[in-house]
Amino acid sequence: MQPDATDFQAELLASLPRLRRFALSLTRHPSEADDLVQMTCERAITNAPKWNPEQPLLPWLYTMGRNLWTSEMRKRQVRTGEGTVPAEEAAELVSHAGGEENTRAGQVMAQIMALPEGLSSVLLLVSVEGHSYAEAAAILDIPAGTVMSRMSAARARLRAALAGEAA
Amino acid sequence: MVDRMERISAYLDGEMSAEDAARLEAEAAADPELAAEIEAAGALDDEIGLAFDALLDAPLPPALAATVSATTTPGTRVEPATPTVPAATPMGEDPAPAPDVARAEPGVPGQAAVQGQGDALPETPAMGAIPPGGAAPREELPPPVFTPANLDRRPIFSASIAAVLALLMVGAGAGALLTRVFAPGTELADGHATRGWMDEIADYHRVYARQVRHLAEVPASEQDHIEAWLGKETGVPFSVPDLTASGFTFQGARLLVAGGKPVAQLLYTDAGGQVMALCVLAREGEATPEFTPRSFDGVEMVRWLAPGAAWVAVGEPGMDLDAVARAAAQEV
Repeated sequence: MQPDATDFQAELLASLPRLRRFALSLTRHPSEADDLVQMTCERAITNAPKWNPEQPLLPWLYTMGRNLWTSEMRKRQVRTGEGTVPAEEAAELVSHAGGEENTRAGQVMAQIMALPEGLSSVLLLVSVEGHSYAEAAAILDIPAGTVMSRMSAARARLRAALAGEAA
Repeated sequence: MVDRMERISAYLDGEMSAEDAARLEAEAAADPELAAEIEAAGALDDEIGLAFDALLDAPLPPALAATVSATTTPGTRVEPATPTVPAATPMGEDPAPAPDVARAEPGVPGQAAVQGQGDALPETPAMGAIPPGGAAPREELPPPVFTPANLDRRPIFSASIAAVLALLMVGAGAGALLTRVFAPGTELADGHATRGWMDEIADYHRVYARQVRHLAEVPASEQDHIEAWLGKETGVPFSVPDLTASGFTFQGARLLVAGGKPVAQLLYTDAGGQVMALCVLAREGEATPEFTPRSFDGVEMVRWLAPGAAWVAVGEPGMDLDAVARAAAQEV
C-alpha cells in the first residue's frame, strides 16, 4: 500500500489540531469548523493513496478543506443567495459559545473571528504559521497580491478593534 | 495609509526585498511614529499567535468523534460491539487507550470506537470514494450535501477516523484556554464554574434552533439507530417519544456534551417550524415528581428527573413545554 497507512494515520492524527484551527479560520463558526474537519478527514483518508509522503501533509489537508468549504459556500449562494455567516453574527456565536471572553487571548480571538470573510485564514497561515504569501495564496487559491492586501487589512482592522476595546 | 500598512505587513512577513526592507528600516529610524507602528504591528502579531495557539490546546469534542462513527448509513453501520476499527496506535499510544479516553465517564462517546484494537487497516481506501448522485471526476468535488448525516458513509473509514479523533482526545490537555470557543459545554475556564449543564444546553439550543438545514445529525428516519446509539452513548436507554399529539414532529437527533457528560438531544419542530428539543443525560438518583420550569435568556426549559436520568424539554417562549414534558415523560 502506498503510502503506508499507519504513517498516514499518524500524520493525520498529528495534524488534527492545526487542521481544526485552520477550519475555524475559514468558517469562523465552531460547529461548522468541526463539520469541515470531519469532511476533510474523510476525504483525506479516501485520497490517502494520492498523497505523496515526501510532501508535508498539512498544506494538502488545508487545500482539501478549503476546497470543500469553497464548494459549500458556492452551494449556499446558489440556494439562498447568501454567503457565509456575517461577521457580526460570527462574533456573536463565538461569544455565545464562550460566555464572557475574560482572557486577552479570548478577546483577540473574538476579534479575529469577527474579521470579514477571508482575512482570518490569511492571518493564520502567514502570521502564525509562517507560510509565505505564495504558499498561502496556493492553499487559499487566491492571488498573492490578495494575500498581501488581506494581511494588511487584517492587521489594520485588528489594531483598530483591539484599541477600541481597550479604550 | 493602507499602503503604509502593506509595507509594514510585507516587512513583518518577510515578503520584502532586502533593499526595500533596508529602506523601510532607514525611514523608521528617522520617523518615530513609523517605528512605533512597526513595533505595534509586531506586538499585535505576537498576540494573534497566542490567541491562535490557544486553540490548539482545545480538546476535540467527543461529539466530533461520535458524529463520525455514528452517522453511517443504515445497514453499513459500525457496530461498536464488534468493531472494525483499525489499530489506531500511530503515536505510540498504549494499544488499549479506552480507559484514558473515557476519563472516568462511563459511556463517553468515542470510547466505543477505540475498543477492539488490533485489526488491520483496510487495504482499499479508495472504495466508495465517489459520492452517490454525482460521479466525481475531480477530487475537489464535494459530496452532495455538506451535512455529515447525509453523506454516504464508508463505515470502516469512519470508524478509523473516530479512533483517530478519540485518541487525540487522550493527548489533548483539559482546561485549555479556549476550549469553549470550539466546544461550548465542555469544561469551562475560571469564572464559569457556576454555569450548569442546563446553561450549556441553552447555548446549544440558541445555535441549533437556527440551523434549519442542519438541524439534526441523524435524521428521524433512523429512529432505531438513534435510540440504540444515543442510549448507549448517554447510558440512558429511552424511546423517542411521539409528540404529534402535542403538535411536534420528530426531526432527528444530535449528541451533545454538557456538564462534561454526553447528552442526547432529540429535535422536534412545530407546525410553524419552531424547534423544540428533548435532552437527556445520565444522573445518579431517583425520580422526582416535579416538572420544573426555568428560563435561560430567551430559551425556556422544563426539567424532570427520571430514575438515573435528567430530562429537559427546551424551547421558545410561548411553547407549552410543561405539557410537552409531561407527555414526553409518559413515553420515554
